[in-house]
Amino acid sequence: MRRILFVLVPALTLAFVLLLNGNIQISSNPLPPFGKFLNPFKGVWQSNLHKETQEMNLQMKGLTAPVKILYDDRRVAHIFAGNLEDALFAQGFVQAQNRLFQMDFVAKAAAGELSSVLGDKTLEIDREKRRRGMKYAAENAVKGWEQFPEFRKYMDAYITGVNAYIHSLGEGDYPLEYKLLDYAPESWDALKSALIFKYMSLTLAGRNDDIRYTNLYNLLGKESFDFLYPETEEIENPVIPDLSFLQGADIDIPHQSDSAYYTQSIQNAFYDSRPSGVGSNSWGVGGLKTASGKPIFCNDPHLSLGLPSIWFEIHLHTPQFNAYGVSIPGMPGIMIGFNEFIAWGETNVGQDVEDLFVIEWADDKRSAYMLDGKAQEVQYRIETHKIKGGKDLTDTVRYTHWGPVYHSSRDGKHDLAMRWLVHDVPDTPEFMVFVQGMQCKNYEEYLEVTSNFIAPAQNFGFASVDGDIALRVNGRFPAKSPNDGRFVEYGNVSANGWQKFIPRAQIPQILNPSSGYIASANQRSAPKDYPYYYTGKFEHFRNKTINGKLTAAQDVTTEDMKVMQTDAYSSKAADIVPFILSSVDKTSLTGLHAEIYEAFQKWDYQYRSYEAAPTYFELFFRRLQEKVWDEITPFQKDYDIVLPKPWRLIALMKKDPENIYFDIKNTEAKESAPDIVRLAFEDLVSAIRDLKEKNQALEWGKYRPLDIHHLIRLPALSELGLPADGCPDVINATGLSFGPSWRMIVNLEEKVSAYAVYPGGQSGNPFSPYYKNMIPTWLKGEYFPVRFVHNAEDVQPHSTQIIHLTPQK
Amino acid sequence: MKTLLYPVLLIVIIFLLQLFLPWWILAVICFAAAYLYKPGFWLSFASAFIAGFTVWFIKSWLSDSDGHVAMLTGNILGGLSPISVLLLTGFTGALTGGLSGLSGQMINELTINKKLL
Repeated sequence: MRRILFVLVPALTLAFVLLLNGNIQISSNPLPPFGKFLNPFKGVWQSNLHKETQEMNLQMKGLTAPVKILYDDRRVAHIFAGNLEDALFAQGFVQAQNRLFQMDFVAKAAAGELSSVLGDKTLEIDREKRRRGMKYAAENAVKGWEQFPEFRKYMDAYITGVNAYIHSLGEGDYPLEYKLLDYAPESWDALKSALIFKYMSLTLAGRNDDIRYTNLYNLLGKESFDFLYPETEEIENPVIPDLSFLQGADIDIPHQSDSAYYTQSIQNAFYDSRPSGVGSNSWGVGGLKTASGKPIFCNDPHLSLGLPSIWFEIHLHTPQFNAYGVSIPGMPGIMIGFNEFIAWGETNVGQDVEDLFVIEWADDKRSAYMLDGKAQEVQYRIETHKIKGGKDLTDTVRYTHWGPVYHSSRDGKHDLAMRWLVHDVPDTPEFMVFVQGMQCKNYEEYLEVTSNFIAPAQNFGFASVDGDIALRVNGRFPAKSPNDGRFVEYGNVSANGWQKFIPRAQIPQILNPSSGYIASANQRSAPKDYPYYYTGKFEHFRNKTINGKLTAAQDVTTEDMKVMQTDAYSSKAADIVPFILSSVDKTSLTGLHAEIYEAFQKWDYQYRSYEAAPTYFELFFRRLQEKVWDEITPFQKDYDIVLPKPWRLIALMKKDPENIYFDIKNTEAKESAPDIVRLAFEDLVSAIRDLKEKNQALEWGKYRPLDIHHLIRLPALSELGLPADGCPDVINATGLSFGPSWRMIVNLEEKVSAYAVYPGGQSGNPFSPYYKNMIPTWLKGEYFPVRFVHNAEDVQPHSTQIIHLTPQK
Repeated sequence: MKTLLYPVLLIVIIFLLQLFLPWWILAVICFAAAYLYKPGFWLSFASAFIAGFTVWFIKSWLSDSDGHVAMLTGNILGGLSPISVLLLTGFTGALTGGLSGLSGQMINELTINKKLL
């Protein structure tokens, strides 16, 4: 007995130690290994803040001259370097110092490697990224970048800076998340930067409705489909209002026949859907419309809001240039910002650069497929998933002429391959666009260096101290004829694919328009008579508000722009609410009916967090859509489809209120638009009554609060339930967990000044006071004046940490 | 004297070695000390328990002067109070130390004290 005990106790002790060290896991959703995690010498207790306050003197290999880094009172990094390479080295260093886990995590998310640190719960998310060829795309990007050794050294300087920080870390210095998830940071490399770049492309140029439109076309027939899903509105404000840029251009569009489109509906196809509503606003007001007589430039990209934030604010100064703005952790350069001469920013274009092709297999094993009458071998790419706490899993992805076979059907009859621009080996040093862009002094230079940009296509907005304002749709676009790429196409004919790209000079652009302003808000880029086919996901309401305001604007000041950037006026609500007011007979209303009616009557269509009218409107509109589109919604059970766009519904209500679609199929009566509005209003009142009974708060900010999640979605590290103004249809485009991720206003007077804010903080360390300190200011619609200085001494009085980097001999 | 000196010595050694070595060195130290010094079952456990607790509790408490780490870690772990997080840390060190010390004593008896075999 004693002997057994003497063996058992040491054995259990050993098991206990192994458990606390993370070698044994007892659940699939593991807690951090408590021994390592709570170790007071290297674990969570060492994740404190001395590294954000201490003055540091560090010797670094890879630097050519000393660099001084000053963090200001918002922990914005001000970098003073002797040349561009050293500045980029320091940029890598400070991004890693503040956002290492984020950089690592986003690169893993892009590569489909989250399961290696989070376990099998993220396996399906990972598999989608592998099938989509995200890592393949990043590998191709690095391959392309190798072709430009004269530029590659800048990327290398950045990477060396990131690694200089990583290699300076001891176990105790690892960011909190590494300790929670029990892994160690790895060295940075170009592939990881490329993955982050490709992740942006996935967010902004990795969406299409090809399957949905194919299904609708086949289920509804051509006539109904064309009626319900037209691609252009009657009145539009395209990003580029006229076609003067096309003067004298030689236009050659490869024609595609209708027989290219797949004629069957695709049932329950796997297709990931990302939140809609991601987008951006940007505008520049020319000197004729500003009080100062000099341009003002504004940009607010609407992206997923997370902690840490997608953006890292930075100031880079060398004897050659002085630039300020936001960078993406993991990438060199400044994406949105300004220098002493110019300001620049972007909004997403949304043109479809991802087409799907049905594969005709040549054999049962799916090892070859038919193309132009011949069998072609597929290339196999073996994807090995490392799963934390589990066995490795391998997945084989087949690559074809088009790209990876993204969707596999059970019977192989409609396996879909993806032709995605983002996979292509870049033939330009595209990563240099934001490194060179931040050094430009005028539009000519800016136009030249940004021509290297490929994807995700952006509307590049520009304004300068010289007085120029300009806007260019920038990126690479396949030249298409009407409907090409709108539907899934047959993949057995190579001519069904892209034949050529639109020449850069023929992509919409404008300099100093007569309107006195430039503006983009993800609406269609080109006017209707643009000869190349334009399709994709475009915005229909925000742009009208913006253009309306800018057309009327005079003597614009920074303060006006602050008010405008946080405006929550919904032109969609302004279009629809009058129908409610005119269709519902007010005199007969009592109680809750009257209360809701009056709320609509008083509403100025601003989505304010403390008002209930926006909630009423959202609930009403959902019911209106369900009632009008009762001919289409039944298909949703079996097929992936999309309802006609809200603007289409509004146009029908205005122009054709007796249209057959307003008739509800399963009633005897023949309904018209006002009848439907009355019925939807009745449903709204019942819904509100139910919500009130459940004590659900109806103020917009409480009904639809905004959540800013930490990357691994731990509530303790997130900021949840924020009462935010706005919705995706308004300038202040907030959604459930996305919204204006950076608001910037730049005054291009002789001495350039700017105001900015983003909903997060500069530090990625949840223990830091700079982790989410800017959220309250952002939520209130207020701004920080940025410290855009010309020498280190000017920022020194406001500095919270100074780091001196000197070259190691 | 041994009763008093033994845990103090453990505290000093644990503290010094933990500055450089992984957390589980705590287990190795307590095991080895008990194996070599044979302080007896009660003392092997209790001394190492007290030493592990003392080092882990005090070091974590000193590392977190404003209590911020304890507060947020408590939230991450599902709503523990800051003092609970400190105590959890202390007892993690204590149990690791105590069980390792006891194991050292037992293995010693098992291998050296032939009477048991």
